[in-house]
Order: sequence, then structure tokens, then C-alpha cells
Amino acid sequence: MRRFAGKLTELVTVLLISSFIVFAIGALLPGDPTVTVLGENATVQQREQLRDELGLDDPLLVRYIRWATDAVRGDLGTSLRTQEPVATIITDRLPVTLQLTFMSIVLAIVVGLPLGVVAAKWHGGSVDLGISVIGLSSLAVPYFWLGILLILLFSLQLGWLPPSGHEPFFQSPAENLRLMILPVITIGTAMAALVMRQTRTAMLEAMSQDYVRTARAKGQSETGTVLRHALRNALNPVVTVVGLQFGSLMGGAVVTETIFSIPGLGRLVVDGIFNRDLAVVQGAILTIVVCVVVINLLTDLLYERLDPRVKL
Amino acid sequence: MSVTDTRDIGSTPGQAPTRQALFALLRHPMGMAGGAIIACVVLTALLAPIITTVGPADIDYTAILQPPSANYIFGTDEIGRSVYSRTVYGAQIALVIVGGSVGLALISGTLIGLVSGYFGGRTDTILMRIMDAILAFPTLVLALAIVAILGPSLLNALIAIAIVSVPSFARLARGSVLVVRELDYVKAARTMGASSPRVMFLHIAPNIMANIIVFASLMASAALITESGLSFLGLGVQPPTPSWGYMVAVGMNYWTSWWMSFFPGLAIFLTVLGFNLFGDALRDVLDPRQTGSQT
Repeated sequence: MRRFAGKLTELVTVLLISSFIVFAIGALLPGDPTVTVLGENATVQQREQLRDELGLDDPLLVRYIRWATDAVRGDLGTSLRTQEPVATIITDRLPVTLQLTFMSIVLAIVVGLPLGVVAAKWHGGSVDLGISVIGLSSLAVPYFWLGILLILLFSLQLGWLPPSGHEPFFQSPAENLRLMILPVITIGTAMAALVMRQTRTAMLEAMSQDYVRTARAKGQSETGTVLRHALRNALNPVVTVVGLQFGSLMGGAVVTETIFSIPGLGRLVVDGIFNRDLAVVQGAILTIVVCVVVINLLTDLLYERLDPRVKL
Repeated sequence: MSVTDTRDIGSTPGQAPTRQALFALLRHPMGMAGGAIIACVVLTALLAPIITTVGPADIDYTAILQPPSANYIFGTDEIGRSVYSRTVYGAQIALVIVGGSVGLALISGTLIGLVSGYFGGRTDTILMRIMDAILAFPTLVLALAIVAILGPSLLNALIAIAIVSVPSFARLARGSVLVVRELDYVKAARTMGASSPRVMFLHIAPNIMANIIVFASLMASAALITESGLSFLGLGVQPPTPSWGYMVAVGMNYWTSWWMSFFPGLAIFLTVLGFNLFGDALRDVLDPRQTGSQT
């Protein structure tokens, strides 16, 4: 329990530092926010009045504390461009990105786990080699290139799937899923390869352990041994790799959402940067960072649950 | 004199394994494949003016959006430039950014890790929490923000990628320092009165470098992925300088001219694959504990 408290303090410290970085990013982005709001032709007085209202001339630390306390209360400011509250924009965008990332994780596990088990079971053979080569290649494909190849093949050449766009899930689930197939494959492929490699390594390790030999000696069937004894113990590192990769999935979402015109958090960051919409950039990046940090903590906790030998 | 002796004791047994590792690497098929790919990319970059007939910025108005042919083997782009020539010259940009950013990150990350692991205590806590905070950002998102602040250019992309890679090097270096710090020869050096910088740089650093260099070859592929992601989003190297990521992005506006994004993307894919294969092999060879399960 004390260690859990320690973990929590660590988490809060990390959140404080990273939130300061997020704030600094917004504050340091070039461009005058008053130009974004008032346009080029406003008078000096109008500008100064706005700077005063937004508190832009206060010291950085004062502005950070003000921003952070508001953020904790759920107020992330208003978009300089659309005048909408940033929190509302994020509430619209976040579910889209979460759907994309979680579906990618499911794909990665459904594909990666069995392949890893198969590769470990027949390790050293041609099946293993084949799976490993596919895995290595999948890890080397940049998200955006894979996305484009998928569109070229499945949308433009074969005409099976729409090339881009998004439908909210609750409006038309079928269309939503159809539009999600290519983006999910785009992000999920590299993740599947990681899961596969991790499963393979962990399975090989587990299968050389005494308890597996004991299970075999007791007459347990080969499938039973592999699935019930080896795989169960090999799952921990797999959980860790999935949890720790959540951040890179979010990064993948940035390019993938751009290619497939999906209105998610990643595209919000990119658009915000190009539009110099500071509050939006800060809010969106802060949300991403909080998600990553929380998922990392959950991964640690789950790891402990799965393996009673590990104590946090 | 006596301190020098200690260093000799530390390094002499290290010599033979290094040579052994080199031979093992030569016998590692995946590692050789990776090394061959990297060598090809380096040669392509160096020999670019010799292996191309037109410059990367040369425009041929009579050949706009031409599919691959005998004249233009990778086809031409929307203003009639050779995609082949641009892909070849793009290797120079890719290598400069990868080499520069990984080198910069390696030096600063190792320094931070050395200080953090050697001094421990509050210094360690503060430095590591800052590193954790940076690691909480998805690489591309943070790199994007840094470039947006500094302004898009080759140098700024290099700096941004270096900054996002520093924490990984720092954590690895710190972990290795914690192990090496407790070895007898380091304790001996300290007992004999060697100063902290001397112990850190002369006694500890050489002993953790192997790990860090292996890691650097794996980070090289991450750096290239980030660089191409930045260029793809329009925040990397600015046109007309040929950058693979940007070429892929432009190709997206001309769907029927698939060759515009296919070939530069293939170049990214192969280079990343090369770095990954080589890095994996280095790790297999230098870390005997892992070899059994990896191959």
C-alpha cells in the first residue's frame, strides 16, 4: 500500500512537470493571439485590452498556475478561433481517438498473440522464420505509408472500402466500423508485430521452465501445456508492452487521423498548431499526456494483479 | 599511475569480447542483412551525384506526372522532377537528421544518466522525474510542438528529435551506471581518491558505452520514423529540399500517380528495417542472456 502511495506521488509529480511543459508549448508558440482573435486590422488599444483580458502580460508561472487550476476544474479555456470551450471540443474528439486506439489494441492482440504462440511452439522452423520476417517488416512500416498503401489497394484499386471520413458510432454503427477498418489496420499492424515478438520471447522463456516440464511429465496434453501453463505466464510481458505502447498509438493517431480525415484528438493537435489556436493545442496535448500517464499506472497495477510475485 | 592501472584492469578483459562480438555479428544473418541495407543507404547518399542523371530540383515540363519508364525509373512528380533523383538525394537528408539527432541525444542523454545514476539521491529523483515527464508525451506530438515553436527547418527538426530521444538514453545510461557503480574497480578508484568526474568519465562511461551504442542503432529507426512523420505533416525539412516524408505527403494529393508516394515510402521502410535488423543483431551478440530466446 505504501508503495502504491509512492507510485501515486510519482504520478502526480510527473503530471505537474509535463503539464508545465504543455503550458509552455502553448505560451511559446509564435504568433500573436490577438491577431488570431481580432484579425490584422485591430487598433493597438483593442489589442491591449484583449491582452489584459487574457492575462497575457502576467509572468509565465502566474499564467501556468491560473491555467492549471482552471484545467483541474475542467476549464481548458476557449478556442481562439471558434470561441467554443476547449473542453467541449475535446469531449467531442476524445471518444473518436479512443475508439481508434482501443480497436487497434484489440486487433494487435487478436493477431499478435496467436502468431507469437505459434512462432514459439515451432521455434526455429520455417513458420517461425516467416512470422518473424513479417513481424520485422510490420515494425518498419511508417504509419502514413501503410495508410496510403491500404487506401490505394482497398479503396482505389478494389473499391471495397471508403478511403476516408468518419461517422459517429451511435448514429450509424455499421458505417462507423466500415470507415474504421483501414485506420485500425494502419495503427494496429505495428502493434500486432510488437505483441507477437513479446509473446514469442515470453513463451520461449516460459516453456523452458520447470513447471512446464512438470505439466508435460504429468501427462498434460501438449496444447494444454502450451495454453494453460506457458501462455498464462507469458501474458504479463504482453500486457506491459500493450500498456506502454499506448503513447505511441496516440502518436500514430496524429498521422492516421490526418490521412483518413478522422476528427480525433491527434488531428486537433495538428490543426491547432497550424491555426495557432493555443488553448486548443494545450488542451489536446494535456488530454493525451494524462491518458498516457494514467494508462501507464493501470498497466503497473494490472501487472501486479496478473503476477502475484510482483509487488509494486 | 595507480589509477591508470585500475583502468587497465577494467578494460583488458573487455577487449576480447568486443572482437568476439564483431565476429559473431558477421555470422548473424539478420544483422548482416541490416548492415548491408544501411551500407546501401549510406552509399546512395554519398554517391548521389554519380548515380543520378538529373538533379533533385531539375524540372522537366514535358514530363509531368509520368509513370515509371526507362527515362524516369521511379516516374516524375507534379512539376516534372525525377522521383528517383529526389529519393536518392533524400537519403542524404535522412542520414543527416538521424545521425545528428541520435548523436546529440546520445551525448546529452548519457551525460544526464551518468550524473543521475552516479550521484543518486535528490539529483537523481529530479532528473528522472523530468525525463519521465518528457516520456509521457507521444514522441511525434512533442516533436511537432517543438518544431512549431522553433519554426520548421532541417536543424530544428534535428533538435526536436534529439530532445524527444534524450530521456530514453538517460534512463538506459542511468540503469547501467547503477550496476557499474557497484563494481570493485570503480569502488577502488573512488577509494584511491579519484574525483567524481574522473570516475564518471574514465571508469564508468567506457563500461556502459556498449549498451548505449546498441540502443543508438535502435533509436536511429525511431528517429527516422519521427522525422518522416514531421515532414509528412509539413513541419520537417522544407521544400524544395527532398525529404522522404514530405514526398509521400505530396503524393497523397495525386492518388493516380501512386509512384510519387510509393518509392520515398519504400525508402523509409527499408532504412528503418535496416536499422532495426542491425540493432537487434547487435543486442543479440552483445547480450548473451538474450541470445538463447531471440534466435
